[in-house]
Amino acid sequence: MTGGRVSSKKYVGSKVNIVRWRPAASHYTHADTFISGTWGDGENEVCVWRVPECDDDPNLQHNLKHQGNVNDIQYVSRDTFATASSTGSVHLYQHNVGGHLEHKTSWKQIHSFRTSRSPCTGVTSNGDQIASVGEDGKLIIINPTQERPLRIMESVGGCSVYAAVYVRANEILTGSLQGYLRLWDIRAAQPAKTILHSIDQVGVYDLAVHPTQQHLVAAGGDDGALAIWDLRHTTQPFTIIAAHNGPMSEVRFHPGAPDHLFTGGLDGQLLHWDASTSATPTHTHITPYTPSRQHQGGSVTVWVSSAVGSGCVDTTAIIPPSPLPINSLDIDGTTLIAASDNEAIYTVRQVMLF
Amino acid sequence: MLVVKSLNAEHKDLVHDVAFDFYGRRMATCSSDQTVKIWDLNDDDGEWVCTASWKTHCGSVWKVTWAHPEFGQIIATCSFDRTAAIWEESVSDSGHGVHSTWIKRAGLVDSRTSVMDIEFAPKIQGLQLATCSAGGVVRIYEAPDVMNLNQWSPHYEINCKLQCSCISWNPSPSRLHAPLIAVGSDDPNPASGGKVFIYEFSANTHKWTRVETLVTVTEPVHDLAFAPNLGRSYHLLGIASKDVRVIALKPTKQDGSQGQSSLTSFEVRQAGQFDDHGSTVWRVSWNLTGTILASSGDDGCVRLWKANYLDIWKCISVMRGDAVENVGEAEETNNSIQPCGGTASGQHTARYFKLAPTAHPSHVPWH
Amino acid sequence: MDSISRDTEEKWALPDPVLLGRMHGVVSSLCNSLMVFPHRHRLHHEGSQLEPGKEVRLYQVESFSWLWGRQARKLINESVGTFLSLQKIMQEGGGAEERKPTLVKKCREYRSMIQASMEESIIFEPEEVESDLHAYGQVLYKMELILSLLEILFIDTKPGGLVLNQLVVWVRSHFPTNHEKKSEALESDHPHQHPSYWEIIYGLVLQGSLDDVRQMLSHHPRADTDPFLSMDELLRKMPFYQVYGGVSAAEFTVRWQHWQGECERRLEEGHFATCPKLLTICKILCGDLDTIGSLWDLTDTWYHLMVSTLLYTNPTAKLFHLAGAAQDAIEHTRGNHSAITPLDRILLASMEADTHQVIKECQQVLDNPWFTTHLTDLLYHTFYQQAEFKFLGDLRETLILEYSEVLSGHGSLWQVGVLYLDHCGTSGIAMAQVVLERRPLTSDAVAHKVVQMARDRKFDNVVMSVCRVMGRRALDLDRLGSAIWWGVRSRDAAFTSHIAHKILQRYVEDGKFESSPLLDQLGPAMLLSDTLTFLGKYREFHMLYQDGKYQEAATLLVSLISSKLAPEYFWPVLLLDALPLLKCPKPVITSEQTYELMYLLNNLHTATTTNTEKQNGTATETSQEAFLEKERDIRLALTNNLAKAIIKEGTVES
Repeated sequence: MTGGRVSSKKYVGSKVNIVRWRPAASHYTHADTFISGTWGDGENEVCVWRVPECDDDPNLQHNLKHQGNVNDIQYVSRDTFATASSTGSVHLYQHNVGGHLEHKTSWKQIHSFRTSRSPCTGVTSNGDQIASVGEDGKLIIINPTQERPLRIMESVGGCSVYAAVYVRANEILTGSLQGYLRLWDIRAAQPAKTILHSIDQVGVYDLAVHPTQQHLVAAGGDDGALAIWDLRHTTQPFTIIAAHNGPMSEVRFHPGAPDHLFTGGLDGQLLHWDASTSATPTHTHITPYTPSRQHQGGSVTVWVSSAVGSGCVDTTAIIPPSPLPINSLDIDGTTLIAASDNEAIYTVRQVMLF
Repeated sequence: MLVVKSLNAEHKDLVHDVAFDFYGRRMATCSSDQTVKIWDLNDDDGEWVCTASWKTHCGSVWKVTWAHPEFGQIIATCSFDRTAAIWEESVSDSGHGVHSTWIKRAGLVDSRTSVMDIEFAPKIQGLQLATCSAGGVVRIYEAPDVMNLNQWSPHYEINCKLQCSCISWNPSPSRLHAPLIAVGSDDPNPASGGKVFIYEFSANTHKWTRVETLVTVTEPVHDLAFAPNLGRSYHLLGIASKDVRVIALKPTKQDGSQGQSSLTSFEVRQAGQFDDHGSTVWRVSWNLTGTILASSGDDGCVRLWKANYLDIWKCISVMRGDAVENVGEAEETNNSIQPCGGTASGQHTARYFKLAPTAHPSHVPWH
Repeated sequence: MDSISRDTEEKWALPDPVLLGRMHGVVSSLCNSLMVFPHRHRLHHEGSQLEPGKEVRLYQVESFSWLWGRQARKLINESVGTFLSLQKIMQEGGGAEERKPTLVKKCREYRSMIQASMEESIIFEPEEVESDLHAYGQVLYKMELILSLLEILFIDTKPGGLVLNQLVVWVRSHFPTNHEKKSEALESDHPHQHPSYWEIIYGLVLQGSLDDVRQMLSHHPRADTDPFLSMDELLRKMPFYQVYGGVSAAEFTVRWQHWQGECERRLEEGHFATCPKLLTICKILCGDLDTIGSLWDLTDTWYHLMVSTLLYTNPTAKLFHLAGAAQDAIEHTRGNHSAITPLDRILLASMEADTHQVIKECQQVLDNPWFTTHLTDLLYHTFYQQAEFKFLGDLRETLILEYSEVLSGHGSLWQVGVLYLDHCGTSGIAMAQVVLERRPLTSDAVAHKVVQMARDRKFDNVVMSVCRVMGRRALDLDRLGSAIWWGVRSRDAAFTSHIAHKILQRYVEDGKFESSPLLDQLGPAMLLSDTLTFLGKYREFHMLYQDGKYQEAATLLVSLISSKLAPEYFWPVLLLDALPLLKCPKPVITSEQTYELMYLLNNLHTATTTNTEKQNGTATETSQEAFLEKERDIRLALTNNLAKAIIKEGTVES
C-alpha cells in the first residue's frame, strides 16, 4: 500500500514542536496549507506554510510571534485555531484573507502551579468549545467567545496531563504522566470513570480518536508502545504494540483511511502502521457513538481484529530515522508533514495510495 | 564577538561573590552590606530579576554557594562574623503574588575566626559542605538525612596550621577518585612554605589526610579552583597568587576497589605560570567544561586562559575595566531609580552593548 | 568565548565608574558567560566602601556567535546529518579507495549547503543590517572557496596527482564575471562594440575557456580574415589533458609542446602582426610571462593569476609545483596590491600542502568553529592512518568539543551539540553528560527529551539526576503524583521514602489519599523503599476492604502491623483500621493475630504517653488524641474478638 514516496526536508531555522494541516475547503479537495509552531528559542512563532502542487518544499506564507513554546495546535474551525503555550496560556489565531495570521485572543496563564507557571501541554476542540490540559493537571473548558474559562476541572493527585481528545461532544479523554486515561463528562460534577493504562505507570504522551469509530482510541506511550483502547471495555487496552525506542510524541489516524495510523517518536522515527493488510475487518456491532460523517471504513474497523490483538500490524519507517526527536506529524490525503528538533519540516508525498 | 549586559547589583556596598546555580538560571550575590540577593532569569526577556534580598550575617558576607538542585534550592554563606549559614528557599503565594523567602536551616558557629570560603561537595558525596577559616581550620559538615536540612553534623575538622583563604572540592564526577579538597593559605610569610594543601578522604578510615603540599607556591594564595574533569586522567587546579598558576595533579597510584586504606599519591606538574597581570591575582574560576580559566588581578584586568590541543596554556582574551567618571550611561543610570534587573531608564531597557576590541590580534606564528 | 584559539589575546574594555574599574570575574554555565564586577579584596571595614552616588554594577559578558543567526542555523542543522553519516561510513571501515568517494561526496554536500546558504542570504532577510548580511555572505564565500580548493588538492585527488584541470574549473566558478559579461556582450547587436570586448576575451583566455573565446571572436567583423582564422585554429587545437582520456601524461606533454611550438611559430611568422589584440592572445598561449603578468588585473587575485600562468606554462602541474607558483604569483601582485590578506594565507598554506597551517589560519580568520570542525573532520578521515597527519586526531577532537560547546551554550542547539559529542572520544562522553545534566528543566517536555538522550547513551547517572531534580521540584510544588512518578524513576530510595511519608502523614491528617491510582499500581517499583512498600500494601488493604474481602484484608493488615514496616506515627491508624474488622460478627482476625494487635497496642500506649509529654509534632498529635479516645474502644473490641476467635478456632478443631 506504500507507493512511490517522495519526501523532502526543509530546514526552517528553529525547532518545530507541532505541525497541523489546515482543514481543506471542502470534502472533495485536499489540504494545501499547514501551520507550525516552534519551541526552545528565545522568541517562538507560529507560521503558515503553503505546499505547492509540484514536489517543491513548502513556502512560508506568514509568521507571528508566539509567547512561549507552542506545545499544541488544534483547529476550532477551518479559519481559527488554538495554541497551547508553555507559559500556561491558550491563544486563539485566525487565518485572514491573503494568507496572513491574526492573533484574536488569549486566555492568559490559565494553567498554573501553586507558585509558578505551568506549561499548557495540549488543546482539543469539538468545534464549539476548546479544552486545554497542562502540567498542573487541570482540564479547562473554554468558550472561544468568552473571556473567562467555562470550567476548570482538576484531578486530585498532582500529576501532569499531556493529552486530551474529545471522544463525544461532551466527553473528553485525558492522558497523564502517570499513565492513566481519564474520561470526563463535562456536564457532570465528577469525571465519569478512570481507566488505567498499564501497570508500570507508562506515561501517555498523545491520544488519537478513530475518525469514525469514536470508541476506539490510540494512545502513544512513554515506553514507545502504541495502545489501542476500546472504550467499551475499559479494564485493559485491547492491545499494546511496541514500536519506538523512546517516548512517542504523536499518534494520528488517517482521517479518510483510518486503517492507517502514523506515529512519531523522540527516537527520531516516523512510522506508518498499516492494519489493512494484516487483518480482516471486524464488524463492530454496538455503535453507541454515531459518527457524524462516515468515510470509507464505515462501521467496520480492523483495529479490534484478532490479528491486531496479537500485535500483528505492518509498520514501516517513512523516513530514515532523524538523529533528533520527531515532535509532531499530521496527515491529509496522501501528504504527510512532520516536524523535528533537527529544525526540519518533512513533507512526504504519496505516503500511501489513497 | 562579546556582548555585555549590565545590571545594578543594588547592594549598598561592594559585592564579594557571585554564584550561579547548577543551571546558570539563578544567581546569588553577597556583599559587605551583610545581605544576600537572589536573582532569577526571566524567561520572557532574559533579564535578571531580584526575587529575594535579606540580611544574612552581622558582617561582610564573603562567599555564597549553591547546593545541587537534587537537594532542593539551598545556598550556603560565610561571613566575617565567624559563622556560616545554610538557607533553603520557600515559595509561597500570599494571594498578592508569589514570594520567595529563604529560611535559615542551620547556623554553623564552630569557627572562632572569620569564615573565608565555603563550598558544597560534589553531589556524589551527598549533602556535604566545606568551610575554611582565617584561623586555619577546615571544617566539613554533613546533613546525614538529605531530606532534613535542620540537622548538620560537623563531620570532620582539619587544622591547616596556616590561615586559610580559599577552598575547592574536586568536582570530578567519577566514582574512581576519592574525594579531594584543595585549601589555599594567604599567609604572607614565604618562609612558612607551600601555601596549597591537598586533602584526600579515605572511605575506609573515614579520615581526611593531607596527601600533597604544593611547595612551589610559597606566595600567599587568594583563590584556587579545581577544574571540572571531562575525561582527563589528571586533575587541574587553578591558583591565584602573585601570578596565575595551572597545576596538573596526576594520581600515580590507583586505589580502586582493591585499595586498602591506601592514599593516592600525585605527580605534580605545573601546566602554566603566568605573570601577565603583573600584580597580585585575586580570583580564578573555571568554565563548566574545565577548558577556560578566568583570572582577575590588581591590574584591573580579567584574563581568559585556554589550552590548545597540545595542552599549552595561553591567554586568549583580556578584559579591562575602564575607569569611567560619571559619563554617559553611568550618569544616566545613577540618576534613575532602577527596579531589580536594571530595566528602567528609557531607551536603555536591555542595556546590552557590544564590546569593541581595543586591539586586533596581530598575526604571529603558532609555535 | 569565540576567540578561543587565537595566538594572541583579544583585548576588550569595560567601562565602569566604581573602584577605577578594578574587576574580578566568575565564569558560569555552559554558554561561557562570565560575570564581572568591581571588587576590592576583602579587608573588613566599618561603613561602606562605596562612594556615595555610585552603584555596584555586574557585567555579564557573553560570546555572541555568528552561528546563531537564522541562516547559520540551517547550516548547523543540515550539516549535522552529513557529519553523522560520514562518521558512520568511516566507522564501517573500508580501504582508502572505498573511503574516497564518500569523502568527496560529503565534502560536496557541505559545499552545496554553504552555497544554498549564500543564495538565501542574498534573497532573504531584508530587515537585517546590510553590513551584517554582507559580512555573513563574505564568510560563506570564503568558506566555500577554501573548501573547494582543499577538495581538489587533498580529497578528490586524481591519478598522477595532476591538479590543473580542476583548478581551472575552480577559478572559473569563483570568477564568473567573464562568462557573465560574455553573455551580456553576445546579447547585444554588435558584440564587438561592447566596451570591454577584448578584456572579456583576454579574461576567457586566462580561464582556459577557449570555446567561449572563439565564439566571441567569431562576432568580430574581421572574423573571416587570416589572422582571425589562424587564431581560431590555434584555439581549437589546444590540447587539454584528460585524466581518464586514455592519453598518458608524457604523450600529452608531447602534443602540448607541439601545439605551443606551433603558436610560437605563427607568432614569429607575424600571423598576427596586423592585429595587436590577437598578438596578445597568442603571447598568452605561448606562455609569455610578461604578457600574462601585464594582464594580472583581469585575474583579480594572485591565485587566479597563478592558475592562468600554470595553464600556459606547466599544464601537467602537480601539487608540489603549486607552492612555488603561488609564491611567484604573490610576488607579482604584491607590488600593486595591498598587504596579503588572511584568506590569502589560507589559500597559500593549502597550496603548500600545510594542512596544519590551513586549519590554524581558518580558525583565526573565519570566526566560527563550524567550518574548521567539519574541515578538520574531513581531512582527518582523508589522511586517516598516515603518520605525518597524526596530529589531526587530537585536533579534530579538540575542535569538535569546542564546536559542541558553542552549540550547547545556545538555548536551542544543545541537542545538536550532543550529537557531535558522540564522536569525540572519552572527553566527548564526559561533556555530553555535563551538557545533558545541566540543561535547565523548564518543562516536563524538556526533561523527557534529556532523559531520552541520556538513556540512549546509557548515562544512567544523568537519567537519575534529572528524575531526582524533577521529583524534588514537583515535591516543592506539592504535586505528589508527579513527585512519586519521577521519584520511582530516579530509583532514589531516600527520596521516595520521603514522599511516601508525606502521603501517609497527609492521610493521617485528612484521611484522603492523593494520586491513589498510582499508589494502587506501583508494581515492582514498590520495593524501592520500605515506606513505599508499606504505602503500596496499605492501599491494597483499602481495596480489599472496599471490595468486602474482610478475611484477606485482615490478614494483610496484621501482617503489615507485625512486619514493622509502618512508621510509628501510623500505628494508631492501623489499629483504628482494625476496629471494624474486629467488630465483624464472624471473626476475621484469628486469636494469634489478635495477640499481635494487643502487643502493638501496648507498645503504642507507652509510646504515646511518653510522646505527649514531649509535645512534638502537631500533625501526629491530633491523631494521637483521637487515638487515646478510641483506645478503650479498641481494647474492648480486641478482647471480644479474642474470645470469639478462640471459640471459633476451638470449634473447628473439635
